[in-house]
Amino acid sequence: MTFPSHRPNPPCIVGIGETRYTRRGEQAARGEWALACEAAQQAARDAGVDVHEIDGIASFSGDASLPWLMGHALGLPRLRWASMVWGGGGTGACGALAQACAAVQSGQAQMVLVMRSIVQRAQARYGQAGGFSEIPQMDLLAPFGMVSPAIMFAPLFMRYLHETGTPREALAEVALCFRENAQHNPRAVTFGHALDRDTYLRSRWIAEPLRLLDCCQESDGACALLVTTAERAAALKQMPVRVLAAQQGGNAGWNAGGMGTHTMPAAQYGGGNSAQLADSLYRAAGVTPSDISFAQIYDHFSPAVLISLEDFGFCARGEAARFVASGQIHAGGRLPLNTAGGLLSEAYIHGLNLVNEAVRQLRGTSTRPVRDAQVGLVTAGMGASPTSAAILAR
Amino acid sequence: MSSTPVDAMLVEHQAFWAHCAQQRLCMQRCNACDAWRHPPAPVCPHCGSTDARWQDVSGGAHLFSYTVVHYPASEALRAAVPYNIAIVAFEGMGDARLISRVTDAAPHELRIGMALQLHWQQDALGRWLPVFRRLAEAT
Repeated sequence: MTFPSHRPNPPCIVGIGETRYTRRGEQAARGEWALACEAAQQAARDAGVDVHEIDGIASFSGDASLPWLMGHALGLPRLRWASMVWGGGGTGACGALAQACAAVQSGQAQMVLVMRSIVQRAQARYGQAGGFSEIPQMDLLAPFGMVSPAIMFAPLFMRYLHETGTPREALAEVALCFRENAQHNPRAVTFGHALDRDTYLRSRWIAEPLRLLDCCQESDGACALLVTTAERAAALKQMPVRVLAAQQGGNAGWNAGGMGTHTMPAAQYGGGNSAQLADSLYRAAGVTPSDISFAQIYDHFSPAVLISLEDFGFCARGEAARFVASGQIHAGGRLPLNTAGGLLSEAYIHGLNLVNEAVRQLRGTSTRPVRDAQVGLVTAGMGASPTSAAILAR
Repeated sequence: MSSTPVDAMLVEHQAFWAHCAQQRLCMQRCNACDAWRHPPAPVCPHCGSTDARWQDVSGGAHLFSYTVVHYPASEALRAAVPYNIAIVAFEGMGDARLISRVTDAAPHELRIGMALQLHWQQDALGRWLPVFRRLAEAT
């Protein structure tokens, strides 16, 4: 069965690629540019197209592998479109995909490379002070010791737990589920490192209510995918994965939110800045939460998964802990999540690896396959505004 | 405790810190519609006016949310952990909250909603920081 598309002939993802994923710093000798090129070449090989067919490049989070560097190394003869999505971390992962879709739909490009390449050198770790020093409100945060994403998000999660009566221990279900998924995925950095509940509960506090094992990994690696028109996709070797919708969005008043001064509206403070985006995304895709076979949810921190389940309409407010505890997010459950291990247990490539895993699920090549997967949701980092998300289908 | 330096600052923030240097906690208030706003901004998000004043924060403060930080994210913070970060809300000031800390509460004593009182501490870089202590219950 093919899920009906709201719009005729949506853009398609026709190739995916990635480098090896490792712990941070282990690929520093190669560098981000080389990793980006490898991922791009792999995506082209996967799609069965000549890499020289790439005529557009989209990325996010200030990726250092600039379009002209990529054009130089890959010898791109017709590079005619490039776009960078604002926002730190993974807020723009699906936004870059949305840009690529817009480019091929408008005819500005035909084969767009979406990519993200990360090498976390000792002096530039996202989890350390200085990793996000470009945030314009940092002078209002740093003097008090609010200097890393874990610390910035912790008060938001604390208020979510407080308002919904969710116990801290409920977060274990998320971390344990994703680690279990990663044990089936040889690409995952934590492959071969199973996790049990006692080890989780013994892991040290980073910033309450976040334990070490509630925080995503620090990884090196690159991820890439190719977006083209439905017409071009039909002639290629892979089953096209249709992008039913890819959008950016955020809630009113959230602008200086989770990664700023925590001045978002009180009623949404313990939330994920995604309720408006979710509504718009579902309408654009022509689907509802009950149509979604699986989701890849941006899991920089495990409580973000609970909040996103609520923002994207899978649970009522405050019900996410019960939902995850019931086993519904595991393989075979109602809504399998982060089937490659996510950022917590596969790798932290700012969430572009979540898009690749969604493509694998829909192709039927995931290492943790969801039976009869038809439609998948991918969400991006929720820290800054606008965030982004996408709905993909077979 | 923390003496984390800040590389750059928006020009709109300078008055906030200038008032702090005089141990005055001031926030921007719109001269057209009287709405408080924080962080500082060149335009009132409610009415669009660019006419604003800096006014002393006077509303009762409470702990809106918090975290207790155990992992030092920089060398400068190694001696400071564990420390708390407080998101402080002020009565009658809407969402104009302040990031700060509670200086006289152990981690297990922090409670969302607890009443707080402003005081001032100088950090290692000489900056005067608006910080809070628990407000004694009225007897």
